[in-house]
Amino acid sequence: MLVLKTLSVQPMHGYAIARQIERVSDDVLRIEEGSLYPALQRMRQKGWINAAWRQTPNNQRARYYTITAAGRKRLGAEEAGFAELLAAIGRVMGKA
Amino acid sequence: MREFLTRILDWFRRDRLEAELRDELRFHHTSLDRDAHPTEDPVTARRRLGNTTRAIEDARDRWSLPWLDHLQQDIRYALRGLRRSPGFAFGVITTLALGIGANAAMFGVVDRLMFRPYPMLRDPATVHRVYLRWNERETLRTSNSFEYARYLDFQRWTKSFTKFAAFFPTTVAIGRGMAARERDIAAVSATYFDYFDARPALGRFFTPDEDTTPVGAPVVVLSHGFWQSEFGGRDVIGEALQIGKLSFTIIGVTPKSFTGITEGPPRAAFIPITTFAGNQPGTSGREYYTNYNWGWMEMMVRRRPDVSVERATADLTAAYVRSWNVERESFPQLAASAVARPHAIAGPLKTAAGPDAGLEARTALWVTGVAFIVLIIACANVANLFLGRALRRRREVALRLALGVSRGRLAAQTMTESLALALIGCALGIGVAQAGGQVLSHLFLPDWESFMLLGDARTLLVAVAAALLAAILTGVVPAMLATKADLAGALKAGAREGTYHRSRTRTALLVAQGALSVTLLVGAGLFVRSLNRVRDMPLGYDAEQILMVRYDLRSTTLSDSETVWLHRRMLQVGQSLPEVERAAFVSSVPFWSTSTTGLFVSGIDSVRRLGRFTWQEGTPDYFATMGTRILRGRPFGAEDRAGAPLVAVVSEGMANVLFAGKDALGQCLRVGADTMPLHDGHRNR
Repeated sequence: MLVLKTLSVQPMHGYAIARQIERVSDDVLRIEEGSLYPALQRMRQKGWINAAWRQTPNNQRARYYTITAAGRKRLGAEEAGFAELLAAIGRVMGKA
Repeated sequence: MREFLTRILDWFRRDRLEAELRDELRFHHTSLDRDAHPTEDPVTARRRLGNTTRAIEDARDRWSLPWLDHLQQDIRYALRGLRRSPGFAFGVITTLALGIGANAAMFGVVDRLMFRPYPMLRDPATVHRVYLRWNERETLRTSNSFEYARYLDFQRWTKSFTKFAAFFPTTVAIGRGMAARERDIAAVSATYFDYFDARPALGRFFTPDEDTTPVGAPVVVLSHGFWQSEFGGRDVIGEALQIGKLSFTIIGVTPKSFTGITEGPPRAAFIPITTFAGNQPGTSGREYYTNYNWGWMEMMVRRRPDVSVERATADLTAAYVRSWNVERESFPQLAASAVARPHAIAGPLKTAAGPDAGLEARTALWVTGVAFIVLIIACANVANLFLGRALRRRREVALRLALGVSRGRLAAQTMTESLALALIGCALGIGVAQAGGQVLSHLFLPDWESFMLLGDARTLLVAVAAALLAAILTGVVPAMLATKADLAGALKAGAREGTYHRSRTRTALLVAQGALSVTLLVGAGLFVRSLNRVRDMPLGYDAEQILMVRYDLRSTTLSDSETVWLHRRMLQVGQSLPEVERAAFVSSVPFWSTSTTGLFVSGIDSVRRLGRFTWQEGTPDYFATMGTRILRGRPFGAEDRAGAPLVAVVSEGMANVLFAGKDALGQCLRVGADTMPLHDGHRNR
């Protein structure tokens, strides 16, 4: 969900995704490449994202990932599910 | 599903994917090194990223499919094994190729003859041809010809159908004068085109108000092929076209792949059926839609989707009985419906699949059965070869089992082997089918039906299905044998190599194969013998050298003297051709069409009771042309002309029956009536 959310803003390569998530979450969430790249492969096979090689601004070759229509739909579903879960946890914690 | 496909795709490009991932990770590392905090120790930063090797391995799992890896191994193993024993592989592949090829070819023929739906026909399952059946003098007769009046009756008295169409394939002269050519056309009702998902390539089809009794409008729809070949595809709408004796206005062109419903050659043009019928000479043209004298056209119906075929047939039969009774009012000689028991059938569009299938269809079905038996024999043979191989490999298999290969894997391997062989056999078999199909289609299919297997999805599908069937039939037994191996025994038997246990399965296969082969051989032998019998049957004339010439007056009417002149002129022209030895006119072709008539011979009560005697009219050279010897007397001569005494030549067989013990020469015979003559005598030679 985090990756899809990040990609929904703009296409990025793997390193940028990791940095972006770290930055936005103020370094609370850290993504290891050991889990990032297998996850990206899985999402590509499921058709949520597309991958293409492109040049970075400092002229290096990197694989950029783009979110697909199916990916956006999935993201919507996950966001809704997550909001529900958060609210539920909040209610439990509030009562406790 | 999509994920599954992507995974398979990824499996095929896994080497490239892995290289790409390495590149990607390298980029990740360089970026990390570059962005690393100056204060941070690079080693700590690296640690932050985790284990590169694990990342690659985890990703690799995403594009590896264990079963696909195994399949690849099995195929490699199978091909390697086959390369090592080329004799075995050759035997199996050839056997299967012949079996599969024979079946694919026969399916191709039978499918074209009986099952393949007509192009562009909408919802073919609800379209039926109507067949009629009734008893006539104790025999069941089947017909698909209708009177137009009957067609109207069926429309009036049935409720199971949404649409009725009448059609009649025929041959007419199109064009004027020397440019006129014989063409195959179809006279069809306006409803005919509604059965198809077809839009005219040009103009329009004709409408119900152009197809009305008593006479429809002189409008014509051209076929795409005729439009292209005769008019070069230009805009012909509104032009006049001479068809038979009438001038028609071209109003449309059918789309390219439209053939209509026809079992004959492709049609050049379509005209309204009432225009065709209403312009027939004589009473047919005037009364075709009110009386039942002229059964000529064919009929198809579209069944309501909520009505079963049985109910549709019952509905048709009820209407037919009613129509039969109406016909009987004006024609009392017709047997009562209780006797004739007329019934109508909603049957298949193709007559070869209908209740009155022709000889070709029945023969083709028989040959298909034979082809299937050949495939079974081929499978038995191949299964036996596989078994022999499995027995030879027993030690290898036992060893592998002992080393821990799962039995399922072993069975899969055997199945892969037979599948690989069957598929190679299938590829070869399609070649066999293409070659054999050319020959078969000459035997069973009309000339205009092409037989191309490539691009013929239905036949290719059957070939592959036959290959899969063969693979299963030949692979199952060895696979079972492989998994049931008695480990210890096999390993021990290895010490005494050469011991050969006769397997009961192998013997059974051999016996089945032998029995089927003998049956087939006997059948083939009988077939060849009957073929020889037919060929040796004495026709009484030499069919090799005799050609029949037919002429068509294209509905021109000639007076008697004009006809005589025409015949004389044709004979002269025929005899003057250097390739022609002799020419004669004859009223019918022996063994094709015959005529009989009442005969009277004095002293004989009923000639008819003594046998069936056919008669023939011929010009003087008839006997010489046919090569018939005259045993006694003389053949016809130039002196036997109008006004001369009437003469006849009789066969030896007829003379022996009718003039037993007497000299046939000079006897009298009355032709055309079976009663005593009053004045005129017919002399006989």
